[in-house]
Amino acid sequence: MHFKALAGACLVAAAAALHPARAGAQAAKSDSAKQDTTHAFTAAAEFGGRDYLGTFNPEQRGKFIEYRDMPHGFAVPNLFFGYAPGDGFRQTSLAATNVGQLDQSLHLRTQEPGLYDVRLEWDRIPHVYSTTARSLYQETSPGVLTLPNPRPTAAAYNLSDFLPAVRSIWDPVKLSVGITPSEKWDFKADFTRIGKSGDLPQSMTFKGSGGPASEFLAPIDQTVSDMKLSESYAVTRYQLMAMYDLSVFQNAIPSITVDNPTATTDATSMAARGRMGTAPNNVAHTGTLVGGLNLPMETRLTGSASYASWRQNARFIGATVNTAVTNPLINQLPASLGADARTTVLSGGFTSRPFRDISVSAHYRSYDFKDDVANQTMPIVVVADRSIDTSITVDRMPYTRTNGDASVRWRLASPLAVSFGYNWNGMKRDPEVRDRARVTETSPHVSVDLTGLYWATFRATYSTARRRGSEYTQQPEEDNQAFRRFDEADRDRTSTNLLATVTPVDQVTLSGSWDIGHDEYVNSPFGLQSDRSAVASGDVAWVPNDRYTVGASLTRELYNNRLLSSYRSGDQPSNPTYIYINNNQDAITTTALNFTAVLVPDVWEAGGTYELSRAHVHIFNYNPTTPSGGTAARNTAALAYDFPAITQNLQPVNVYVRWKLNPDWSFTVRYQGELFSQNDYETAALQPVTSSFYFLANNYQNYDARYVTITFSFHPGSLRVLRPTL
Amino acid sequence: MPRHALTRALAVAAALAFAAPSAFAQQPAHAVPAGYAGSASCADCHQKESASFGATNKGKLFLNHPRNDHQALGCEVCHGPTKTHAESGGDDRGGLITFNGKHPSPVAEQNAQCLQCHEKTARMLWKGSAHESHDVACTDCHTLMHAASERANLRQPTELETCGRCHPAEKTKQLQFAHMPVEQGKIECTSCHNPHGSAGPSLLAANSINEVCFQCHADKRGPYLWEHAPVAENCANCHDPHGTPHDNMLKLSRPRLCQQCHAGTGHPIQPRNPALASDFQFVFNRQCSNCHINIHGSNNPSGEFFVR
Repeated sequence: MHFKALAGACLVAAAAALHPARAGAQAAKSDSAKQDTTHAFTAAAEFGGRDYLGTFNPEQRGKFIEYRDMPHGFAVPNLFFGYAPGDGFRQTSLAATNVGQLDQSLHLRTQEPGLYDVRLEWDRIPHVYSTTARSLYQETSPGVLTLPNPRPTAAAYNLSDFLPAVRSIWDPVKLSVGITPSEKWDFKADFTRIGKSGDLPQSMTFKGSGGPASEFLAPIDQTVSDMKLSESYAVTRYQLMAMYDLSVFQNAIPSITVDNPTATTDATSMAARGRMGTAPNNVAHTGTLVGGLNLPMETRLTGSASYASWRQNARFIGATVNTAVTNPLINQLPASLGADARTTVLSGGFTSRPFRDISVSAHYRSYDFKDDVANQTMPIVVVADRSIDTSITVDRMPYTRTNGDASVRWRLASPLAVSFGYNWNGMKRDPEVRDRARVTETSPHVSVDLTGLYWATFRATYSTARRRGSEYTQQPEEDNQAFRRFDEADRDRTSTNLLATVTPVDQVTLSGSWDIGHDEYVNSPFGLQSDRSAVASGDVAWVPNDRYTVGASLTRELYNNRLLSSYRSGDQPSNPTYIYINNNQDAITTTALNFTAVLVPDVWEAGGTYELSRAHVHIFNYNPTTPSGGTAARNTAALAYDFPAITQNLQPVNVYVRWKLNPDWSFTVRYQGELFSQNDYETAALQPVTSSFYFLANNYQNYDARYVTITFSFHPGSLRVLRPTL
Repeated sequence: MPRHALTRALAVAAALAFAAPSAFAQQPAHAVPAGYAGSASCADCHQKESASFGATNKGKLFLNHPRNDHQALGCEVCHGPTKTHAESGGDDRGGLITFNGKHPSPVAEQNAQCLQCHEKTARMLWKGSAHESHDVACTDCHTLMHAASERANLRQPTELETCGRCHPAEKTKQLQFAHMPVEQGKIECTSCHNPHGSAGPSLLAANSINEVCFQCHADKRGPYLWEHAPVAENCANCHDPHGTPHDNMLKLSRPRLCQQCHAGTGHPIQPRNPALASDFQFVFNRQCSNCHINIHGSNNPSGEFFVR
């Protein structure tokens, strides 16, 4: 164990505790005597150390540190400084979490409640993709990944060392200014900048679907800048709000060029390297107006209008890096796309209560997406840096989505209400690029709500929906014309949602929910046939007295997706024995237990949580009839087999004992463990070189992490609530 | 962290923090209107609640620094006139609005108290919203009487726990294999949703699902030269942002996810046998995305089929 850091932390804390914290004492004193002081400084801190029990290798930690940093040694989970002049009404504070770690955050805030609130926040987000990746690429310049020449052997890949943790890091910095100069006016400005850096696993084929292909770490250097301004004017009768949003995306690496691991010279059949485009720089402007008007009989009218322009005119990269492809059309490529997509959103709402027990409401909304580009034809496309297509029309995907609803709510008795409603959704698409010009879905629904009772809450909703559309033309035309895409196909949907909370006695609360969804794709000879879900959840909380709480919950999720397909080849476009059925079944069970106990009031307390999440993913495949009639190779290709099951298991446990040295100081010993295991055929046995594919071969490894965290906390009760410690 | 942003923010913060206390310290006297008892009267019997509320920001505003006559009503801003209740020694509830306990006021009456001041900005579309129309009370999620959360006066320490009380499946999805860093506190439910009502679907905090996603994933906004139709229309066609057992929060494993739409001749629609060496690249690692890597769209002139 790494006791040095823990010992150091203990010494610091002990010294502070034995000299009852000048700062703390002053803080406490100032808290009670705020009316008499002109400046009050307060502080809070949680610090200590973390150490792992047993072996926990770096390559095992991928999933464990997916979104966090968990180093051993000294740790400062929470730090807080506050300043409040006068009687403490105006406050300025600086809070930090996970100080010095990759996932640290900083929050600076100054406020006078009801007048202004200014915040500056930086909350770093690490995302680890792998700790077991293997690659021989070197980034010789930004976005250019090269291999030695001559190319390394398969053994060199397979025997190479694991790379350091592959991660991207987001650095979101947000400055938020809110001012309420009077009760009628509100002004808010948010400036957000998200810097993205690190690496992201990507892959590329150098020929076709049979490879060779290579997986690599694509560097990231991106920035998202966003400015939101809003101004609101509100009086009892009406309210208005105007908003403007400017979002700018900038990418410093416009392309990724990657060496072909199997070739060193360009040829028309295959390039020595390939180049992929990355996300282009783009800008979006959005302006929105929202209004509300209150009228007699609790009537309210609302409306909003929003218009946005998304522009993208980044300079195109060249058609290919393959020097063997010399078609003159390459020089006729336009310089950029000149894209200007526009969205127009109009919505309106009406609610009223014409009678004491009856409310009515109605809404309408239209979302129109137009997608115009300056250049609609590409003179040449070099697919995979090798095969040439010419004069390709660039498809645009405009659509208009409209929806409306109307409902009546009847309060049968004081806590009981019943609602009847009807929803309508319409989708209009371009039939030149999509399969259907129009799709309409109608949905009546009923709901019952029992609320406002001390001992029970009950909510239930049932809805049934019917989606139908205009003539269906499968795109492209050479595809199976009986196939129906799930987002455009005819569909019957039913949905039932129940939620109940009962408090039979003061000490016990029982709650449960049950959600069932069933989509049936009624007119789809091929394609998605049905999609079912069932989620049941139960929860019990027992609070026998002020000192103890116990809770437990169980959630069971089942998802079943049934797909009907038919293998097709050039000489067997519609062989009925090539039909296969695919059932995707996901089952997830999540159990949670928790307790808190005040062992000795104001001195000793304890608590803990345990969670267990188990997932089973099965893909079942079968042919109703054994494939026949084609060549032996075709018949074999048409055979459907079950996929190996995927299992995932996550068990975090967290138990702590806290000793309150005095009202401000406490000492916590926390034992935490996390067990993760998975069995995923997709990556479990992957070697870097398999056939002509060169993978990173990364996979989250199983782990059984156990660690102890000892923290001292100085936290005057009058201070803000600190962020819960993980 | 950009220095200029930090410097500007520090300057603003310093200016506000050290501004002369007297600028807002002088509060005009506010008379207690007829029917009202005054907050001092409430504290006579409800010392614990009064002290707890007084330590909150709203309590400091209402009880010590009201900016108008309405806020000066203190406890009675939310609980309504309590003179009858006070004069009866607590026996007569009078027109008292209560938010908890064994005899809470009807939800609509409770919420009306909050909307007196808050029917504006992000709550302008509360009436008629999914939560309002199911009689969800403001106090189902918020509490004003003590500080239970880091921000937003939530009843639970975090948004995940607050929302998870009625949406348990969305909460437990955070434990699934692929999820966003919600449990780590890096993003919250309100990063995407406005639970107080919105003009968008599913109480989203933007006009569409895609526009919510583009707030952070602006790289996916394009518009691209080569667009992928289901991506351009709705990110949720393929992803469940609350969490799934599949890579990248996909709703289904590939290649089946892709085969829901792709029925072309040859490799897209083959059933694929994991035991066959020739099927290896279609069912292992990234499956279809081993080659079709720019599946969200490509701006490469040769990005047709999303392989570049």
